[in-house]
Amino acid sequence: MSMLNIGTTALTATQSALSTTSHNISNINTEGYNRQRAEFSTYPPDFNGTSYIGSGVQIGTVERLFDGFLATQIRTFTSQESQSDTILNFAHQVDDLLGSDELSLSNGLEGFFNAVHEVANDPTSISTRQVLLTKAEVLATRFNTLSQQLDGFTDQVNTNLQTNVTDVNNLTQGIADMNQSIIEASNGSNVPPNDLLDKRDKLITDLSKLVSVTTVPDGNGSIGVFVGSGQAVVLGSTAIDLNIIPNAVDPTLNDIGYGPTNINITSQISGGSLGGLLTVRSDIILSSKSELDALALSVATQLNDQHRKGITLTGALGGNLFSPAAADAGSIRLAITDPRALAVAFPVSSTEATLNTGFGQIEIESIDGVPPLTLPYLAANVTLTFNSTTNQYTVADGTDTATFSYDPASQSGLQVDLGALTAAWTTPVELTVKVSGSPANTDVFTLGNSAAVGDNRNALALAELQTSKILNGGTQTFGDAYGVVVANVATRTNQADISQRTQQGLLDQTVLRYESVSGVNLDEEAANLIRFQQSYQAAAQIITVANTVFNSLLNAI
Amino acid sequence: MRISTSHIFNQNLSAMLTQQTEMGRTQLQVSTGKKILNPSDDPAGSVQILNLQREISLTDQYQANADKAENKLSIEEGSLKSATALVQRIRELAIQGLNDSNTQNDRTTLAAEISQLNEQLLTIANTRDSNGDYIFSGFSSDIQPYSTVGASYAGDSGQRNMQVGPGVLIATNDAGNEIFESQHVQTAVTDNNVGPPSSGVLNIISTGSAHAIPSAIDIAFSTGPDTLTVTMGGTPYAVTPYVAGQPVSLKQLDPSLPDFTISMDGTLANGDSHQMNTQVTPSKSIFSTINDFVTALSSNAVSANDSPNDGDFLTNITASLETIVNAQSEIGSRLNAVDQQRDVSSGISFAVEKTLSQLKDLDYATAISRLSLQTLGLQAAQQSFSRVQNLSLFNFL
Repeated sequence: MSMLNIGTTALTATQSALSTTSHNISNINTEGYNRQRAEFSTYPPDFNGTSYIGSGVQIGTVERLFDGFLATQIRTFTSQESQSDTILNFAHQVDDLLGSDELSLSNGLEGFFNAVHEVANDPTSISTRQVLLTKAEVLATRFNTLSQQLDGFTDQVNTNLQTNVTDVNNLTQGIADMNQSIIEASNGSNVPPNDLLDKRDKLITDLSKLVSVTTVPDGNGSIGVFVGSGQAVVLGSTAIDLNIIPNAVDPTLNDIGYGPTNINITSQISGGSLGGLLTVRSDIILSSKSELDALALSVATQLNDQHRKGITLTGALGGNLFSPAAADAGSIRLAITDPRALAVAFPVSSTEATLNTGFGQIEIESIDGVPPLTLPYLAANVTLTFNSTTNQYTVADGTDTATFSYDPASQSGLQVDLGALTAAWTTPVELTVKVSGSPANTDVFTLGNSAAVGDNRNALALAELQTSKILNGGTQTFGDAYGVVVANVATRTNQADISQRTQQGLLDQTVLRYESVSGVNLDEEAANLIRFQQSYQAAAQIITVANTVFNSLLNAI
Repeated sequence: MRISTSHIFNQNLSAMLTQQTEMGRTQLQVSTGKKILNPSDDPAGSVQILNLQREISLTDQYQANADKAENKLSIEEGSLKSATALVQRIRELAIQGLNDSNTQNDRTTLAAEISQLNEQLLTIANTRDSNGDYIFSGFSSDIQPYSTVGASYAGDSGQRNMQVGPGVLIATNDAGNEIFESQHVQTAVTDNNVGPPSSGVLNIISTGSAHAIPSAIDIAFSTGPDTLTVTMGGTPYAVTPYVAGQPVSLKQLDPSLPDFTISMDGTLANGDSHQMNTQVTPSKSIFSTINDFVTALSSNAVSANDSPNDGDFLTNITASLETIVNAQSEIGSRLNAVDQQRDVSSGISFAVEKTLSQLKDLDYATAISRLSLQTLGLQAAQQSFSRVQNLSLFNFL
């Protein structure tokens, strides 16, 4: 082959190399672009009978610098990072919500119980009672607001699921289309359609942001994409859609259906923002809501039960403080509006006989009847008479009698469950009394029905509920239970934060390694420009020399 | 290793964004003064903060309750102080009125004054608080405890408690019958001659201060020789000879006998016998006791021999006064308890506030130095970014 031809192959090959370099430079900002390299190789040599004479250069292929293993890793970490990020985003909102002073149930409970104390201090004051009603309403409203906010988050998750599923479908359709284009472009040849491959890889990476995917290459150059436990969303040039379907148990929740028959694959979806949304919904939003619902129910039940054991300012039995009976955080409401209807007094009181000479005391500790109660609470007055010889109190209601031991020297403050003591009576006395002091022989105390306006004992009993460990098998106060709700969300948010940072770190490192293979470096490209420019100039010189050589020949003639 | 140009750019950018985020956080901490901005910053700490805040709120409420309790007890104490002064004045007037030098007129005037003071005393028993609640009628605070001086107690025995500490209940009122009613004694003389009624009359000439009768005293006259026999608790003390109308001081007869000076007057017959005893009413209101005395005083029927007896009234008024003073000291001790609990609560508040502050409040020194470090970091990141971005081989082409 002539020198002129060799020079021409060099010029052509170098031009291709310069084009590839320019392509690299111009795609410096193209997302998903993998740098390309023109691979030079020698032209098949000429055999002149004795030896092979080189016949120039050619561009073998334009290679795409791409590491499939790193690309898969990036997708895995992208899915995980995106999942953590989605969880973190919602968790932060729930965390802020529960932690805010303005909405905190903790403050609501404190305000309510402080008002109960104030009513106990001034049981006849209508304004103090009104304050208690207002605080009770504030408490109920806080439950409602928290519940609404959490419902709002659930709605937002629904909307985001919808958007994400649409995005997934768009992407899978795009991948299927690219599969088709790639099959057509590489039809019958081994030349890789680099830029199409880049686009498809970019679409798959985008998809992995939404949901964790696995890919399986097909023989014909197409790639199958699978989600969940192996549901194909792209097969060759066909995309199979995901759809939003209603949850079977709670139709207000969006679930994810697969394919034309909408098989529910919600539980199999993991990773990506879809996985994140589903996780945050079940682990943070719905679990907080159910914990709040349980707390609202306990607050309503416990306060109602105690309130219904009391007597109102008008002498009636107390009604429910909160409604409905099966209250949850969303539905709990203040049930009474008249401050006089607050049941602050006890229906029974204990009176010491005037003739008593000792220093004993008997107080009503609690009303043990299970609401609804009826008035009068006691069918007959109950007397407790002390016998100092036997150290016993005799309890009598005119029909039945019973005794219990009380040693003034060692048992002052003894609580006696009269209900258990008188269980066999015609009408058992459902009261617990506190026996204290040193009564004299034959000292008598009478338990009788009462409805006095200045009585604050039920208010004290209500106030006691603030510090009583009555929830979760007697281990938590109302405030403790709210603390657990806050702690659960805070811990999960904290975990999501740490996990997000970890995944981000892993992703960054992998991207660095991936980019070190596939990324464009402008300095490198500038150097290549210079190199290929010089090669081109040199090749041009070949043409000049060939011309000169040819001219020398012509001149020689 | 190769580094791609866009990666250099992105890395620098994300480094700056991270620095900015961290700095923003510190800045927010500094401007709010809070160490924990969200519960997730320190889940355990946040829950502890909730618990501590609840404790502070509760302790504050206990303090407020203590203030209220103190207020109520002070009102009661003040009322009882006035009542004590009134009763003491009544007692002085009674002593004055019982003096034999008084004329019927003097006594009527004094009786009118005592009656006036009794009405005042009644007003005190019917004291109402700022809510219009009667403070001496137990739980029945809407019912006037004593409508008139002669009326019996209309309230109940309820004692309203206030919670001034965890499990610490302080009674903030007392039932009127516990304060204004006390045991009432009345010295009575009965003829206990086993035969016909005694012809001799037992006359109580005077009573001293210690004249409570421990057990019934029989005073009998017998002839041959004329003897007056005073028997208490089975032990006889004889005065021989005895002449009708001769005064006998029982205390001088024997120190164990109460301080009465008596005489047996009229025609004495063998076997004449009288019994002196104290009739005890378990509970009678002070108003009624005073009122009875006023009636007696104004009708000049307060000689030693009259009923109610002068000494009895003084005994009874002293007993009533004692009941009121006891109640007063009881209130004093409750006030004391409130004060002590208040000290305990302040101590707890202080300790809890301190712990809360350690958990919640920002250490400004640390935060500010962290902020300047972060500012420096951001500046460095920005400078290195511009330096690195300026480096390009293209600049030299």
